[in-house]
Amino acid sequence: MDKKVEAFLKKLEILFKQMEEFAKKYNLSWKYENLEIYEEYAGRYKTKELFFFKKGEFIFKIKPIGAYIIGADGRADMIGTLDSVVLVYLEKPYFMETKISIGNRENVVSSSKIPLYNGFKEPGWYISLEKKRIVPVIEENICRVLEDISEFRCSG
Amino acid sequence: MNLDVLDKIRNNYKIFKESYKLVKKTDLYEKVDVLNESKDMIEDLFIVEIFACLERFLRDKLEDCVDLEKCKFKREAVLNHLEYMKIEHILDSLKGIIDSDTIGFIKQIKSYRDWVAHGRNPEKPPPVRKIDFEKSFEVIKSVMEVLA
Repeated sequence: MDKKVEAFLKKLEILFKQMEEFAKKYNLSWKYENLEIYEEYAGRYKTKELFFFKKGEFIFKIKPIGAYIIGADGRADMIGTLDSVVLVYLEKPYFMETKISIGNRENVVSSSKIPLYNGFKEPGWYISLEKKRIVPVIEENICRVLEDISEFRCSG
Repeated sequence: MNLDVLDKIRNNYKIFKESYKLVKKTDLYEKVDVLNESKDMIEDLFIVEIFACLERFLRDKLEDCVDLEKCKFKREAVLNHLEYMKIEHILDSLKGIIDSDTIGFIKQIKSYRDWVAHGRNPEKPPPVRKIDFEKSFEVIKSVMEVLA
């Protein structure tokens, strides 16, 4: 199996376990369904979608999208009844570096190193928010997002 | 081209996002996947638009270089070819200013744009997929701001 996909599937397991823990705390039930992903570099491979329910009613699901993602190391979507958000796995912080020089390349007049995402702390799953903002997939942020994408309130 | 065009694209995107939320509340769609897929497809069109914007911006910047007083080449002869220069080559010529990772990032957005613009061949998926429109927008915006 493609090494990047192999790593992606392991990261998905981490995400699924984390979401199951969240579901236990808020009395949600869950089920897995098989999913096939087709990527140019990796070919076809099998994974799972994770669905969550409250008293039998669908609340949201986690749908893996792929391992080969522009500027990230994996993507899964969190899809609710009203909207969806993108979850990304980031192995490292990404930056854009610039150097402006006059005349020859040694004569650098300005340089900068701008992060491509605001909010990276350590390797892990992040919720992609507006502009450059990302926040880690933790209980507090999951609750905030669920209110927006499914009108589900953690407070009950 | 000035950078105001970026604000217009972002505003159009915001309007689309808000309209999308309203449509979802109407119960017109039974399956969440149907609407989510359509959202993703429309976001892709914004990627096409922002990339077209970058492409125009870079060609205009090159034209500005040709207009500089110290440029001794025949203006028309250079400009005739400028429109046909591959965008990848223009991006490569920026490697002295912008780091190669970011240039690689932009090239990946280009390859995704190509897949969308050439009909989303289901038999040949894109080499890489986007995170979302906003993250691609921000990288392209940063590059344009550096060169403005």
